[in-house]
Amino acid sequence: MRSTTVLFQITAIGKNVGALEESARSVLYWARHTARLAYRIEVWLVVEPEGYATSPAVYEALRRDGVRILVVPRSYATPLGTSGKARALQFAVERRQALGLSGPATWVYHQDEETCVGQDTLLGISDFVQQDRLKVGVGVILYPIDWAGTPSHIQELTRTYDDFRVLDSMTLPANPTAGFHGSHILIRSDVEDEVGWDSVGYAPAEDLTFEIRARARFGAVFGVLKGFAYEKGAFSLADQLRQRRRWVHGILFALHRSRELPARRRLTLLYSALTWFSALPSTLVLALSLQFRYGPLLIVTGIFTGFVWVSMATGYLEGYRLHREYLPRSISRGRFLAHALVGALIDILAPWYALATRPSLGDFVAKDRPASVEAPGVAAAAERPRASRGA
Amino acid sequence: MNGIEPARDVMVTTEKASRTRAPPRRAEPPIDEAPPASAPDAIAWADPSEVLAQIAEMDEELRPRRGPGATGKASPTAPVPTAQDGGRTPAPGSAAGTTPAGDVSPYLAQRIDYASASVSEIGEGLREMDERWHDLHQAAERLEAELGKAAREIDFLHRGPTPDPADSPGLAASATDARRGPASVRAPTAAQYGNFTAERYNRTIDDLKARRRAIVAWTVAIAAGISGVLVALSIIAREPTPPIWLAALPGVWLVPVPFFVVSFLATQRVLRRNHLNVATGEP
Repeated sequence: MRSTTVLFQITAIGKNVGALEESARSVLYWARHTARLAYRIEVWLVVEPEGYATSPAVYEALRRDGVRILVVPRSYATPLGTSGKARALQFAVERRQALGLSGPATWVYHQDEETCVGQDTLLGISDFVQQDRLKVGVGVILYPIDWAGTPSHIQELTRTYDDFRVLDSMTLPANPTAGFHGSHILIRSDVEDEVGWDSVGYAPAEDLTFEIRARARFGAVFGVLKGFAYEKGAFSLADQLRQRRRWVHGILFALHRSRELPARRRLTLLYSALTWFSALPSTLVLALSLQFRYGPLLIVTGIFTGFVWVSMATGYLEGYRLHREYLPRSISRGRFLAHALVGALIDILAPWYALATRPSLGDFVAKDRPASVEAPGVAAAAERPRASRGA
Repeated sequence: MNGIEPARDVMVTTEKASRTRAPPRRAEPPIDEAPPASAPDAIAWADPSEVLAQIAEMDEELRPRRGPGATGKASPTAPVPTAQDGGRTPAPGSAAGTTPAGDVSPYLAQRIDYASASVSEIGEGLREMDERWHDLHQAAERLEAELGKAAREIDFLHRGPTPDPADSPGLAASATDARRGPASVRAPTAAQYGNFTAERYNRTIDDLKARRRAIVAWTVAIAAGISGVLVALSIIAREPTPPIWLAALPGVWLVPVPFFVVSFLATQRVLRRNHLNVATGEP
């Protein structure tokens, strides 16, 4: 009987070489320094040829340290002809099958290029695969790496607190609030093989498409993955806007093109999108209230306004508290508030910006630390050992 | 002298500014931290951007009064004729003439040139100091953060070494399995520090779980307070009913309400139902 194996698979274009290397080395480091793991580990990097060409030396160094490097051939095409990340993910599935690694004893832990793991991540995975009760696990992501307290970084704090909503929704049969992740997810390989990542054409939200298909085929097989993953927020507001644009296009793609989406899920997804799209009109109406008198309806809306405002503020506050032990520096209240407002403004604009513009393939967002951000692993040193420590 | 007076005013302003300005680029000074009182410290605490702005202002003030023969940058160390030079021959290129207030010193243009050059040089130096200060400040922040982490890790280790999990009979087999990984992944384990990050994760989760009821209480209380005030204001205002298209606009605020209610309940439920802690080597 084959022992349980977890493939830590980082799938990316591969141009953010620094971030990618840190992610891979965080796995190598903690695999070496965590004793009670109920599985053997393999690290896979699945990258595009142009990504590999960015820095072959780094990739080869990782290969020497035990990482399996898969460069998706330019000539590779999936049966349905998908492109982007879905194509690379499908390539990895086929490669795994060809190597005879697929089966119920093999799990795939999906990482983005900036997803670092900690000891808690590995222990959480260990717990999940030992139980072997559910087939897909999703956990909570923190964003402490390279944290500088910028508006886009403050905005990410709310995502962490929102992850608890995602976990609950996802473990319910119908996923009523349409939550899922593309990273920090653990999938049993036989499930991934059967569901696959292939779609007709470009699928900007391959993770959502996968979740819809997996739920349709296997039912409520989703569970909570213990342990955090450690990621980084966008470095600039423009990057934040581009990232959100990709998400919006993913949702719109799923609504328009996914034939496997049940009517009820379509409705909840539509409502989620509507909630996001309503943010800008809501703000404009609020601004117009200085000029216009809206009349008696204010009495009705006033009842709910307090709850909405407090819920939004709680997202920032609890998100920050969850991060507090992981952040390199504190932030003054005034700065926190100002940056939260700017970060929120970008998220408010994002869906409308997405309607007005089209993302390029993959919509490249820089994840390698810009020169202006300090180099040493301040933020998540414990989770993100530098190359020298991990070696 | 007519042409020099404004510059003196600027100098006074600069000095005042340097004493009163907030520290430069100190991102989050503690509330109880006040600028030091002594003059050199006050200069060090001055906001360099303000000082630079003042210098630019001085430069601007001086510029129009340069003589026609004034050239770009004069050496500030060049010999400058003094007021006692009286009726000596003016330096070549200097402007001499008469103003409504009387005769202008033949050395005035040169003095202004030298002063202007000095201002530029001081400005350049301050800019460099500003950059250096910024670098030092970031380095200090890094140091502080790393020391904080180190202190927490030491504290964790002092609380007692964690027993090597491999000593636990029930866990030995899985630990052995883990070491069957790829060659690069096989290595001896470091038990004590290894538990630090797992403990930190558990602590973070425990803290959130402990706050669960408080979050409910505060959310309900504050939301009720805000809503109460808004509803009361709406009733007191006795707004007349506007055209329907205008009256319906605030309806957009109701769109996300179900989402926030469901999110609130979902977060509470997932925290209540799930044991999210990971197992560490602690007994």
